[in-house]
Amino acid sequence: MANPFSIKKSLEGDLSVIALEGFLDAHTAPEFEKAIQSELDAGNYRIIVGCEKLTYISSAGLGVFMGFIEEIREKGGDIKICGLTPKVRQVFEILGFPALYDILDDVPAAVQRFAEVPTREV
Amino acid sequence: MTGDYEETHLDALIESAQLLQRALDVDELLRHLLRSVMGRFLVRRGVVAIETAGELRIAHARGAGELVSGASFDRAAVQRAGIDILLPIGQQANPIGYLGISRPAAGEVSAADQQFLDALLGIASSGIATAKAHGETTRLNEILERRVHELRTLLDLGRGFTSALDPEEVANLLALTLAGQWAVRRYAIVTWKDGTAPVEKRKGIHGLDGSALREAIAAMSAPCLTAEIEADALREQLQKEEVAAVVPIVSGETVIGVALAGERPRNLPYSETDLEFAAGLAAQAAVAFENAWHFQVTVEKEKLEKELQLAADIQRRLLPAAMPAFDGMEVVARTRPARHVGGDYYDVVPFGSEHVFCVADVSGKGIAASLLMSNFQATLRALASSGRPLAEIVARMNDLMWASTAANKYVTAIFVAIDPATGDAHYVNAGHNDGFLLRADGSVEQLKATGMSVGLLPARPYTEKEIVLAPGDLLALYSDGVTEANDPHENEFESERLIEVLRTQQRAPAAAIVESVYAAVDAFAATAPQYDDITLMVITRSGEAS
Repeated sequence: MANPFSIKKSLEGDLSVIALEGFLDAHTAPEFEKAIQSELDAGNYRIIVGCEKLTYISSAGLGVFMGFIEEIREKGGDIKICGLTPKVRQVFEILGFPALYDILDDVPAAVQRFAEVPTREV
Repeated sequence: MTGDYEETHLDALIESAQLLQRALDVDELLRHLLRSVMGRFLVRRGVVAIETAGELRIAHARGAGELVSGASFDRAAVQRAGIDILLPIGQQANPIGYLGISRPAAGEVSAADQQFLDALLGIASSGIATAKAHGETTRLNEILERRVHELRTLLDLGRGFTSALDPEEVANLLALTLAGQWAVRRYAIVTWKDGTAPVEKRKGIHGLDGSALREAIAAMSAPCLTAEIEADALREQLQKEEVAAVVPIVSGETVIGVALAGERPRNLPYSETDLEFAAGLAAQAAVAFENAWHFQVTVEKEKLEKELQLAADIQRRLLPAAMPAFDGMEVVARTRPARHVGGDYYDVVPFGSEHVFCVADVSGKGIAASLLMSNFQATLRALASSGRPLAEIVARMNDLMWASTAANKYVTAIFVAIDPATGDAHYVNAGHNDGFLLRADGSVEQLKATGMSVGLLPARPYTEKEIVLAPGDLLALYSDGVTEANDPHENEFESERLIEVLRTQQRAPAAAIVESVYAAVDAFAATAPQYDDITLMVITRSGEAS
């Protein structure tokens, strides 16, 4: 694969952390979609998506966030996003995502935000 | 007026000028302007208004409760609020805004104060122009960034589509991309192309089923907003489902599906460019859907080809690898399937001191025909060694196969039991083409049907008939593929032509006779395609006719 993409899952207390690495585009978005779906299937609605090693994100990648957020917030959970590199952050900003999601500097900050704001309005 | 006083003015002016020129945000600049002037003249009431979208509006007000930010600038209202001094920002004749304050505590505004104010407002005016230009640049940059991202998205999706071989996958990529691009939580992708399984990918939009959409969107060629649709049943339903944008997926001239998108967050409107972008996505998706469907058909075809190949293999193995050799009797048989797999079968099975020579035509094609054929062969071979009479064996085969196969599955077959030593023979014809016994003298006897096709109806009677294969005689058993072979004008080869060829070749070796019949059929058929298998078994008894 020319543009490798990988997902690493871990736990931070009762929070699921999904760490993304590489290119999240139309090719790889379905993989990310499956990763989130499997968390929901397991009843985990409190998810941190770590983007420290994410080098690129396309609209299809951002679409994955949109596809689940309603269900997650209705269940009282949330997706908090952290560790955006400047290039990735720019795409989030162009498409207006900072107004819809909590975007934090790093995983500890995201954990902290979960303690303060467990969920948001859908 | 003292030098000190002027110096203080100058210092304040320089300080303010620096701040005003540095401010890249108009709002911040105005607030700073108001603050500086109110602080400088120690007034309690102040207001600053600026032209916004072609109208003077109040940007900030301090200590003048009635005046609120965003309200239209009304000179009378401003005066009523206790603003006594009103100074234009920018050109006196055509100001871009106003700064207003109540009368200073020190009384009248001195000439020096007036100069200070003029200078400050002049700087503010150029500062505002700079900030506005900067704001415009930022806005243009944002638009540009969005356009660049749209292009990137189209490219990204194009790449994603090239590897999407499954229509579901295509729908998913389209849905994810639209959802991401527009930040929508509710969307649906639905397709309805004839001859393909409908694809549906939905989030939050559960009404509006495929057939209703198909009918309503059949004439739509470009994306549009729900609000733009003429008020009708479709629009009502779309509104009920909170669908904001409708993007038809058009392949050629035909609408093959649709993408529906819900409202964007914070009531962000869909722009013309958004819809154009969606049209681009949909056009790509249409091609990707077509490719995926085409691929599915190809895969199906390949599967079918493989199945047919398998059936052909099974069938080939059912045929005897070689004909047994007899003293004074020669047997040659050949079958040629019309396409990969046919339903014809032949066999030679030991039967006491005799052998049974059989040519059969199994109904159906493909794997099913192969299984039926293999069933037929196993039954024949098992019963042939039972020592029972031929007619009884065929009757038993009929019952067994009737019980074990579907109602529309049957086999026509001719069974001829021959004692190779004497040429004494007897036969059962179960609904098959007449066998031809060509006598040495050129006369022909027909081995007509003596019972029904095998497996069609239970408990059928089968009769056995005696014949003798004398030296010089020729027995031909064949399938209807021979006599019903078509020429380009749809004439059939027919029995007469078969008998004619047999007669001219009567003295030739059996293999040459078979060869000649095939050659004659092929010459007759010429370019006409053949839809049936061609099977022929030729048995000759050597020796001179007595």
